[in-house]
Amino acid sequence: MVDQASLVERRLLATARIGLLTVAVAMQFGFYGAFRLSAGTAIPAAEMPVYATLGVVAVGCAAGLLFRTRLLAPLRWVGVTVLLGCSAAMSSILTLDPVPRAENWSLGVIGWYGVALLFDVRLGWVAAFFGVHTTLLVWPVVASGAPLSQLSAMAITVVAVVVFQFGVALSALLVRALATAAERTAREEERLRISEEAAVATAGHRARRYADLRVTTLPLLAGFAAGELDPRDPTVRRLCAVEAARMRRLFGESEDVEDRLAHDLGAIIDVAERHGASVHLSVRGSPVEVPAPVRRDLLAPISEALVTAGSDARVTVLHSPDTVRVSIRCAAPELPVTRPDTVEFTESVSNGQLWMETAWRSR
Amino acid sequence: MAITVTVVDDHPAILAGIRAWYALADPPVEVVAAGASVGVAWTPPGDKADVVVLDLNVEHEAVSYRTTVRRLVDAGRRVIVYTMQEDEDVALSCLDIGVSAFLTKAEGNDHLVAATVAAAENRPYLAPALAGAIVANRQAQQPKLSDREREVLTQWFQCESKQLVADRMSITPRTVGTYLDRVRLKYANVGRPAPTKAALLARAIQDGYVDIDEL
Repeated sequence: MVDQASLVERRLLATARIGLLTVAVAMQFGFYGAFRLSAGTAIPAAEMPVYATLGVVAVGCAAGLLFRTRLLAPLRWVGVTVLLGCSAAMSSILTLDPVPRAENWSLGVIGWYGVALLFDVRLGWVAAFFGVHTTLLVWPVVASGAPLSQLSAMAITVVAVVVFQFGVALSALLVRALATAAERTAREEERLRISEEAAVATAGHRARRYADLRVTTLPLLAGFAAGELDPRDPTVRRLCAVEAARMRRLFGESEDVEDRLAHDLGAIIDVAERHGASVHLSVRGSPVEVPAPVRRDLLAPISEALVTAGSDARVTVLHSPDTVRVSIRCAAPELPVTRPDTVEFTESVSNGQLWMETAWRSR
Repeated sequence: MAITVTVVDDHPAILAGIRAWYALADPPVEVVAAGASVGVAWTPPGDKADVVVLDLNVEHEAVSYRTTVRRLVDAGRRVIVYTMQEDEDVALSCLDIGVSAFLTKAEGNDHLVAATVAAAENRPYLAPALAGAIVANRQAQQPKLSDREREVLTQWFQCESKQLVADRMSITPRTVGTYLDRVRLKYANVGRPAPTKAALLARAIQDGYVDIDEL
């Protein structure tokens, strides 16, 4: 989900940046270029290198956006350094006459490129960029001792341009807020959808389990009622033990406890111990949430082996950071256990000892 | 010469059980002092024993088990914690303090004698309950274990039989033991310094288990 969120944010920022770049390019090549052409005057030779360098910045920025949605950080800072270099160069070329200096094309164009490059970084950096850019332009005039009236006239233009551009940079905050809100809504919808699906799955699974009981438990009871089954028969007793453990687990499922897996296992061990098993349970690690269907599949084979073994048994639950493992070591039961579908299952028998593990990847 | 042991446990049945196991041990192990308080490990004849077998519950609320264990370890005593506590945090903190081995009461029958002999010789011993605690360890400060080592630990915790682990992983029981020893040594090489940890590592280097570069 985090990836999706940042994707939304990156897309929005990239779109905004393309817009800003378009403005800068239009200013430089469209308006200023057209103005020069229509006026029939070439761009002053001294300004040409700066004009060309800014063109390179525009191409670099566009290429960066074309291949990736995000500008690489080193490229960004190289671009900013180049821009400030252009700003310093222009400042040294222009005359010290305050008003023409302020109205020069470079003030606005460099500013727009700066906003495009620095759109998605902290506002402090944008402010610092404008601070340096403006100071480079204004300081020589102040240092030359221009009168206050001239400085004020210059300030009107400079402040109007720079503050407007800074205001546009501020809108990055708005874009971020929008992205966060969109992401939160998407996440909430996803969560709802998952919990609805889980509820449906659980209900379905439970219905199937009760249906299983009808198939397995009811015939046993019917057999007893009809006198066809003999409770003294070891096979019958084993079948009863398996059914008892299954029912105990099913009834325990709605109880609200912290470690559901260990709780369900406790219920099975209860039944097994009543059938003469001596069970040692070791649980390690912090419990993680295991979905009910998975929990049932993790425990079903363990339960079958445990209640039919009737011997000493070692049962372990291990919550390692990425996997939940349940294992049993006991005397090998006569009948093989049912293999689960949804969890990993490993089994080996040696010297009459069964060692079996069910495992589920929690991550 | 027999390995000498001081046993600190407040239950007479446990004391009797431990004496019985040691009586059958090879090499011979002799319980030179036993009692319900850790005082027996500090006073003659218990103060000179090679190994102290300590139940964590004996001191009740007077001092924490950490303090009790730390004092013994810092005095250079080789301590085997033998406890009802299944909690992995307790096991890992005992390991960090520098105990020679950590066993739960359920493991006594199979592991206490072997752990005692190992402790007396400054050799590593890693019983299944502790293996489980190590695999489940989520603390930030822990040695890096390989996937294979984690697999051995997990299986050793589950089945308590080196032979079964060996069969499943298609290696020899001896190799299983080597994996366990290496994990134990990695834990001796991190955290709080203790004389027992240093002795364990020194012995391992001497035995050629690990070389200094690996640590």
